[in-house]
Amino acid sequence: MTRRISFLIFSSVAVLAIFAFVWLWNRYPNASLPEKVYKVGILVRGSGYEVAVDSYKRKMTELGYREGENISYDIRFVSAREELPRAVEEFLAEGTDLIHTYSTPATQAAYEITKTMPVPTPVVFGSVGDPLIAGVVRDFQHPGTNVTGVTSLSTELTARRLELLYEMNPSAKRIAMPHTAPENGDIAATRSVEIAEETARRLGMKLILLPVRAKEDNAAVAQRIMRQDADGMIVGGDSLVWGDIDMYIAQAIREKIPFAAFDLNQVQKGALLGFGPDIAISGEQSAVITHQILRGRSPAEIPVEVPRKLLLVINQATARAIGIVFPDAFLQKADVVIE
Amino acid sequence: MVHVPMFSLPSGARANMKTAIHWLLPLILTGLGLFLVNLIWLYPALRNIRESASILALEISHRVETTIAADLTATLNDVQAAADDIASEPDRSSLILERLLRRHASLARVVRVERGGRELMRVSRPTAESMGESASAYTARPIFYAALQGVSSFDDVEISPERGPHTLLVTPIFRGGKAEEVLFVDVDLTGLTHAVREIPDLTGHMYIVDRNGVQVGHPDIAEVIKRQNFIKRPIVRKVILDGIVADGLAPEDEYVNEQGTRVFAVGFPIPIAGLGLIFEQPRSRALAGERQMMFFAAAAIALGLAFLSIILRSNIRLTRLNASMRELLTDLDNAGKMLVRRDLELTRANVRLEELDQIKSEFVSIAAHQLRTPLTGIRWSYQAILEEGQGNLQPEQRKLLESGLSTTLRMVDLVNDLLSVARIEEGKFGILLKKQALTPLLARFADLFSQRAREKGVAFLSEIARDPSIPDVAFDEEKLGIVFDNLLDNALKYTEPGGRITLRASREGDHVAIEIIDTGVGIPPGQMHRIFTKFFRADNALRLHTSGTGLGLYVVKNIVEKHGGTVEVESHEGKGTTFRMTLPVA
Repeated sequence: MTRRISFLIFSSVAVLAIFAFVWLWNRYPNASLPEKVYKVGILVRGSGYEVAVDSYKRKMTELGYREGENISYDIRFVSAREELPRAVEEFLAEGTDLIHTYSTPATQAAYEITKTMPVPTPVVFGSVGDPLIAGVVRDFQHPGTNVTGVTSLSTELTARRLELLYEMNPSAKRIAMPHTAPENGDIAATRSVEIAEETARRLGMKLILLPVRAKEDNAAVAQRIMRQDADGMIVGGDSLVWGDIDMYIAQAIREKIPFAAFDLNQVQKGALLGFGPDIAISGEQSAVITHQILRGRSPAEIPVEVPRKLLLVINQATARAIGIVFPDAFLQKADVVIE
Repeated sequence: MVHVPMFSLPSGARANMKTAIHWLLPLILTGLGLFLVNLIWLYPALRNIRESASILALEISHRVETTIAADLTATLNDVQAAADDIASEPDRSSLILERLLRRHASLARVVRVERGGRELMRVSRPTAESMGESASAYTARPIFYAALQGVSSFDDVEISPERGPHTLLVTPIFRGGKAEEVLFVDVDLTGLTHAVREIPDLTGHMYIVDRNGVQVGHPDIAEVIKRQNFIKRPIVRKVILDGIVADGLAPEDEYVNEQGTRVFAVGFPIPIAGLGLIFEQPRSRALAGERQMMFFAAAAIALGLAFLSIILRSNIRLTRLNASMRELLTDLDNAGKMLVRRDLELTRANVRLEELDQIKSEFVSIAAHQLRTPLTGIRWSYQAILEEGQGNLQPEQRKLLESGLSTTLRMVDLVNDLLSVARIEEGKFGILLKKQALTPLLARFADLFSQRAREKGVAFLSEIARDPSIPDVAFDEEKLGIVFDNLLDNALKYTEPGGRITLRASREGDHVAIEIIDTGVGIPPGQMHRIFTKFFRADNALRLHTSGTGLGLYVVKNIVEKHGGTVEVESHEGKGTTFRMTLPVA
């Protein structure tokens, strides 16, 4: 009898305990469900973006996305424009959750393919000269599409680069500007030319435009930039020209022409100076936007960001090579001085 | 093949382990069950406490967040309105900007900058420090380009020891659908410090972080100057990066702050300026009710366990008791059955014994009666021959005849004794009590035996009390005569010549005590307990080859007890015996 009572007590409590456990499990489900493994496709066209990609991945890790555990990256460096759509389609075929792009053509390719999907895959750009002109967003504050990101201001900053050449040497009047030929349809490049022309007019400079139609034209165009014809050189937000920037840098040094380029990478390669975004910071900004999207926000509602940091970079070695001495005031404004 | 057990304990240890398992295992398992069962009410109760704390904290925070957001929104709206006014009436720019400054005490200065970065106009408060900035100061700022894209926004918050937290608000001035100019507005954010101070008197405090996680608002401005970055706190990331409200219910909303205190926190994003408001309270205060609930639950579980322990212990005790009882009952049952069997056997044996006894008594009675008559005849014959042939008998003939007579008399005594015993056992030994003087009877027997004693060479003393004299006793003279006869005969029989026999009678209270004391062979101590049984004769008596049936003392005891008296014996082997009987006074 006693053993029966003990068994009854124990059985009753055990049944109640199981019931309690099941009820609690259903009533208060565990918030930490198994983590999803995200797939991010990174599409880069042009050079100098490795720093940005590294910075992007580093920031993503900081935000809790551990490569190999809950996130994987498929990074493609593509030079030919016509290869961009195929890369995007391959991303989508692999079930990519988000596409991260660098350069206007890469972003446009991603947008054109994803916008037709029933549920468009989000696209976050880390460097686009002017997303409005590129047609990938409708508004900076409310993009309204499946695309958002960090603009590089490469188009707008064309004016600033021209101003820097003027500040450095007000007597410089003739400025060479290689650019993608308008018929190629690079809107950012075309807009850069417009801004450069406006600024040149304002500063009393003369712009020498050198159209580039294809990649193989760069060599010839570069060769045509001579000291006797130009007091300086600038580039706009132009991925075709940037793709062979080394040629233009080499030519500028050879001809002792001050060359105002875009970013730290180009100045490191030998351009006299550069003014553009700190793309490492831009990469971090892109990562934050990616995080917000993966957490459920719609790209259409995430404002396009301007780069949080702009860098004025100067190359003293190039200055010495071409016989330039930077004024002190100019040196004080520099964020990075390459010796 | 020898089988070796993998694990073996001594039997004592095994028993202990078995007891421990029997005790502890249900206790532990039920304790676990009690814990889970208690979770049914405990978990929701704890959640409710947390939710209540969350609601209160969110309410307080939301009020402050709304105030700050409304302030900043109002500022932004007025700045945008001023930009629109300037776009329409560029000549009145100065007035418009001055009016703007008057309306908003937090605005230190407003600068109108053209697209190329050139400053077109500046309006400052008299107390505002000079910015002394060139065009590059504006074109170097990314926010300038955002404005050129048509976006009004707040720049990152800057903190200086002199000014505290401040930021730039930029807005485009549109002309022809294009942003041609930008208004730079220097906004003083020390108002944030005032905003987070104004909370009810609760423990804890609020603080504000910017989009980089840097603390830009705190009740103590000195904390702001430190420029501490809290981006590593999950709640800050949730508010700033994810842009969602942290309600304090998620595990990551709790953290240990810079003072080392574990805090319960809620947070609101302030999207307009990319800020976040966090309200943290010491967890022990915010969720004080949790501790009480946990304590209550622990008490409930402890009580449950204690109650269960008592039940288990009682159960175990009862189990053991039951087992013992069962064993006892089994033993009793077996003993009972055995007793019943024995009882049956004894009953059967008793019945047989009674039957045998009855048969024996009947046989004795019949035999005695049948023997008595011829023996009486033989006795008379011997006596007649001896009396009538006095002169004619030879000495040897006389001797033979006397021997025959003596033998006959002994047989007659035996038969009489047997008859007496038979009658006693049949219950037919009647006692006729009559109140009379005892002394004459005693005297008669004293005379008789004193003569016989003298003949044997044994002294006989008679000590019959006279003063006071022996009172009357109710007795059967014939039966009491048998008693005195048996006792005196035994005394004489077992006393050697030169010994002494004493007959003593006196009154003792309401009894008369009669003692017959001899200095004879005595009775062996190991046989004293059988002295009054039938056919008993002591070993020393048998060695003396004296005559006797062994029935005399049995008859004596019976007769005395039927008179309401008692008979006792005291004897020392080799020294003598004392028979003491008492009779009640009539």
